[in-house]
Amino acid sequence: MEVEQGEGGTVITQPIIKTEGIKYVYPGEAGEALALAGVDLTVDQGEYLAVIGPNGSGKTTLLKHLNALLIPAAGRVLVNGLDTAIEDNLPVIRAQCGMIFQNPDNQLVATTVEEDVAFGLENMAESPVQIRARVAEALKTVGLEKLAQHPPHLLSGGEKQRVAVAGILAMRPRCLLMDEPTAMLDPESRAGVLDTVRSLNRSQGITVIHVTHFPEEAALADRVLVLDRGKMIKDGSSREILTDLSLLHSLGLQGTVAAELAAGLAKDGFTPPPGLLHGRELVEYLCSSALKS
Amino acid sequence: MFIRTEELTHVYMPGTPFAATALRGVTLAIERGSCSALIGPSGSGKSTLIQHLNGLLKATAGRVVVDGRAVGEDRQEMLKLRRRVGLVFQMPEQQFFAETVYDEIAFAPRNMGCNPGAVEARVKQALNQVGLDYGKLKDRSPFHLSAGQKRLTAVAAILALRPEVLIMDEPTAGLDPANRQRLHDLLKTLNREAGLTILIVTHDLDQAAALADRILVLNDGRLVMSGPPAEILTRGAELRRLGLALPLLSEIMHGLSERGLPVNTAVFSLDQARREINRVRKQGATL
Repeated sequence: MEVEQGEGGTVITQPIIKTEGIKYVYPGEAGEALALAGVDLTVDQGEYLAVIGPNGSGKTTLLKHLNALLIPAAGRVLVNGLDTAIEDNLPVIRAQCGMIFQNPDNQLVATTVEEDVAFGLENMAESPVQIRARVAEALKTVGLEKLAQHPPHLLSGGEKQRVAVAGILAMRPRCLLMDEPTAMLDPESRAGVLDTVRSLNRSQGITVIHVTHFPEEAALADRVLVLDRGKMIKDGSSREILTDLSLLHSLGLQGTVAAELAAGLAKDGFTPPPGLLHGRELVEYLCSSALKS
Repeated sequence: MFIRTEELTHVYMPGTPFAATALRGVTLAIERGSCSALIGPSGSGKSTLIQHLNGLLKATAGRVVVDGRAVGEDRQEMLKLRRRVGLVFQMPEQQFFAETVYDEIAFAPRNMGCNPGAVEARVKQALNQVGLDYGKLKDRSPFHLSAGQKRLTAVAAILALRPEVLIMDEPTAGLDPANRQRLHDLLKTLNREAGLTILIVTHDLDQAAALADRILVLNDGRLVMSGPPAEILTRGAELRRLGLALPLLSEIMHGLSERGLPVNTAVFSLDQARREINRVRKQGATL
């Protein structure tokens, strides 16, 4: 939570993201269902939030509202108190909330990795010395300092996605918006990107909002939102939501593999503890109690 | 053998400082009517390999043989090859360009010189094969379909070629679990009922194990493993070394096995895992 010293010494706290009843319809689709049908959301600085929901439930649309790529048709979005509908706010909003897309190829623009990472800073008219330092720092954070001079299009998918993350980090954002950032990555690259993001959240307090179809990725978050047909139908801890199989199944979604297997075993007379979320918890339960004679 | 590669080698940008060897002497064979999964870490050469299988890339060394003919020898043969081997790229809906679903799917048959009646028959059949309603969807914009319908439409656009082989790169990337299942079911049906030879490229061992009768593993441009899923999945340590995560279920079963429970770790579905755990419990009770 953002804490500022207000007039007369009162402390004002301000969420990094606040949406108030936002609605959105894609142009040319009038008469069709709202892509967002009134979403109220408050995210505090430092939270790690996952957004799940079926295809077409509004996840990407919501995310694009949070750095003013889309402006709500009704309601408003405040980023650190700044209204995204006011054009003068956009440079600050976009520097504070960086977006990582599904496909890194759509996001890389330059002919070398370091130029690509510097792109945002150059547009912010930072000094060359400052740019150099921040690019080096960002590449080090994502573990790609050795590839600084390489052309990005010859990197692997995971490396490209980490270049995209570095390009955002160089701008020192307060919030990272990620739209299925690992959909195109192999397991090792996926783990690399997720570890990078998790440690940025833990050590630098960067807020993360992560749209995903993978229950195991959503389980990395502290808090999970569930969207369905443009509405937020559930908001809770990752353990609460990702083990609520009747809710998830009714939407065509799944819980974590451990939660699904535990539910199956419960039908066979096992009594796994409620809220069992991770594989290691299931292994522990089965080895320490259930299967021990 | 239907498709085979012989010592296939590919170098990108040869003779420049950025020369990169993507394939290093890959020899493999794909049988007619089989369903294979090609897996491997990013940068292992998967996408390069499949582009060779329908002649989009030219081998630096070695060759590709499809149904007895070497790829790349003459232009007419190449055109025929591209019809016989249909390739669906990653996120294929990003390449949509037509105003209607009909025109999107009709593009290839029209280019093949089919008459309007034949084009219509192919579009109808292709939509029908992927389980989409021709009457309801033919005049819709492909851009305004749901994510699942878009992916199926992209598959239909390739099926309209009436290929003998369907290659899909990351078939379910970006799809939710319900749409993922729908696509899995479709691929199984195309393989088992329509007799299509299928090759999927995936990062996901879960998917490979669920769909394929054979898994091919590439690493650093080389074919390092090849065999049925039950055999590949028992080589957990090697797969992990390659940076390939085991299926989540296998991780749990390996966890149990490491703690001394005599479970079979090669399970491919929740039901199998459940049965296996129950079996071990029963054994424990009678000991």
